[in-house]
Amino acid sequence: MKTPARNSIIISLTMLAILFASAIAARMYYVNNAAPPHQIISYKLNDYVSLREIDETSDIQIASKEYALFTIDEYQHRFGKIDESVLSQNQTCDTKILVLKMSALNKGPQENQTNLCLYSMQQDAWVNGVDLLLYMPLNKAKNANITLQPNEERTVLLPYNMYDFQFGFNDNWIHINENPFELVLKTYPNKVFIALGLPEPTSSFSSETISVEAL
Amino acid sequence: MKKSTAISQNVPPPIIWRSIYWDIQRGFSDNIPLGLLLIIFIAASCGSFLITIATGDAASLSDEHAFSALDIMAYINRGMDEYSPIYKQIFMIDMTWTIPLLCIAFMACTYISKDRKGYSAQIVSRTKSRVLWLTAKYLWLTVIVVLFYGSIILVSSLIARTIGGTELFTATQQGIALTSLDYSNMQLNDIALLYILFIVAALTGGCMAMTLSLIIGPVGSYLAFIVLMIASSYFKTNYLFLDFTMLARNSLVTDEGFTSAFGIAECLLLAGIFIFAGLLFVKRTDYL
Amino acid sequence: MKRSIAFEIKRAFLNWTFCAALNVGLLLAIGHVVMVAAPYALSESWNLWRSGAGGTYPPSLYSAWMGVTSYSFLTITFYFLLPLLACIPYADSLCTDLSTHYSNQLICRMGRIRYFASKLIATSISSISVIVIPLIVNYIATACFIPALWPEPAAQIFPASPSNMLASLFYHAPQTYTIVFIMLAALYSAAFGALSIASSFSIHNRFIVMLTPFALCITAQFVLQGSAFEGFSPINALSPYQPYPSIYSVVVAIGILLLLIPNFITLIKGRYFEDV
Repeated sequence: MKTPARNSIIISLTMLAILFASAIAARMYYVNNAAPPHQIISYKLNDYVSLREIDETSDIQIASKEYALFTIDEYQHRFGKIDESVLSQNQTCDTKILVLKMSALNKGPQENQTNLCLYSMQQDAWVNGVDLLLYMPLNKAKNANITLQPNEERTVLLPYNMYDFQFGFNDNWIHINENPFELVLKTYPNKVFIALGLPEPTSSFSSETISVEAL
Repeated sequence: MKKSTAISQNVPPPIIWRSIYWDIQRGFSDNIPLGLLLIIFIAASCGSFLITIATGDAASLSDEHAFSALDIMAYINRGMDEYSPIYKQIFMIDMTWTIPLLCIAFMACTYISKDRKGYSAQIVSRTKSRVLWLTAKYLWLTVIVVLFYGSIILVSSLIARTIGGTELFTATQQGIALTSLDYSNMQLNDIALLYILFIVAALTGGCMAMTLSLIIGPVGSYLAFIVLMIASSYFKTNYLFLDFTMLARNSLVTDEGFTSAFGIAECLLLAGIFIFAGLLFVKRTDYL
Repeated sequence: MKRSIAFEIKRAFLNWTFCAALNVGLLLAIGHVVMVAAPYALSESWNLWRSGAGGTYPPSLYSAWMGVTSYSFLTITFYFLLPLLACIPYADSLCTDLSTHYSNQLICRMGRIRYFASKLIATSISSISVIVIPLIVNYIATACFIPALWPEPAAQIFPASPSNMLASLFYHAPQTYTIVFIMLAALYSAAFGALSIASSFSIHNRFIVMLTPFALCITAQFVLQGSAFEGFSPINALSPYQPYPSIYSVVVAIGILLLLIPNFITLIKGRYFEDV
């Protein structure tokens, strides 16, 4: 008879489909579990973060103190004139410069070197690294590395550029001051970041950098 | 009685030439919209070139404001630089390079498919030669491709002669800045060889589309052509002959590019293979 | 109405052009898994990257499935061919029915509106299937090789930049982002099929009818190339890796208009259709 044969075909196909789906699900489970567990470790503004989270040999602790968003004019008024070659890049579009005050403290017994320009600034889908062309004159440094003696703490200013064309037709540029930023220290296997919150007004941003000598 | 020099022993020469002439004429009249589209494309590309040099960054890069026919030709036939997937950048296909090839392939595929349903039976029974029917198609395709590239040269020369302000076939700073290709060392014979390469490569593509259209139908043939076209733009290899239609991959502008002579030889060989395969296939097919 | 829809769907799916188009899509999808996802997961040369050595982010499902690998030849081919693949299965059926007068037989039996409405529905479903099935197969197959690591903008390996539409959604709910783009591809596939059906009234060549949406997409791509609106060209807008910025609401609105207008034209023309 036709009907029982057709029923058996349908049942067989259904069982095959279920088996196949189970095999796929099991494989996906295995693949996802084989990857190391992903933790999200966050710190707040002014928290001292040990760089051992990133580099096990490091004795340095870093802390984000404050940050603000400046227009080109505000930046030049506060921090001094920007070099013509750097400025011409920034003048073709609407630009903001995020300046983050960050301090590094050497908790180890020996002299230590670190590079605070390695960390990315992030807001939602936007991310950028430090603009080294602005960093050098801003901190009167010749390179991005800072050397710290035992128990020495030094503060630097990290400039990050933001351009309106980076946001295309999205209205994130208009609401740039209304969304929090985060400083990402590490992404894998755990995400380590400092939640910076909303930027403070440029008028209350203190641009003094402190260097506390070793005792 | 004179020995017949016709392709088929049974077909008198006057009928051969009349048949070829009529096929070419019919091909033109059936493809008027596409022909117009190709003319509009050339006009649009020239317009885009003029607008870009008038308003774009190229104007600020060069003190000279003159441009030549060679600049316009280089702009239209520029193609894409070699792509390296190692850097994981977005791969984009340049439409200025793509559209003429797509149009040529389309005309090749549709002409065959339209004919197979209707006229082929009449023509084959009248001329008693399937080979003649297909040969006329390949000749029509040759005329189309030569006319298209010839039109580019003609329109470019007209515009450059009118408002260019410099020698017709000399590279200018405007063109070099706009295309980011250094073709300043190109001589007249280099340009001639280059354009022969473009024509032969496009023709080979059309022959491929036409032959495949006979075998697997117009849709399959067009699909295969598009895949070949994308592969040619993505990979830089001698085996993908549509690469040869790009100026950016020619040895005249880049050290690792294809030489025109090698490209012409390869394309002629491939075109010969496609035409032979088509003629062989058509001899075994019954159109009645 | 149900019977006429069932009849048209049977015609749409049980034909060799549907199988051929689906096979082309599946070939691209599975080829992508073999060429991109499997090497990331199994090849020795990617070992260091998989372990996250040097602070680099390993490959994730959301950076390796077919929709987001803008550097892969197979991805580019799939999205470039999308308007053509969507129309190959059944979009030329009305043209064939009209030229062979088979439409008269069907209209006599089911009525004009039923015939044209069921034709539109069947074409839309077959167009959607040919595009969505390979995407889903590729996504699931890639998930069997590569873990679904959460996307991070700072990792710099994910395709969504802040100028892309729904970039925020990608980093907060990547599965939803994938589903949204697959649905967008489905919307446009249905629209392309409907466009071919509507053009069958004035174009009597099957090949040209099938190619009409593809030609329009290529024209849009050429016209918008180099302009600020390049991202709105269908071929660019449908790609999840989004090579150019665009606006989601506008892209969806264009898709809906492209779907509704041909449907409307077909039903109006069908209502008054006479083939004497």
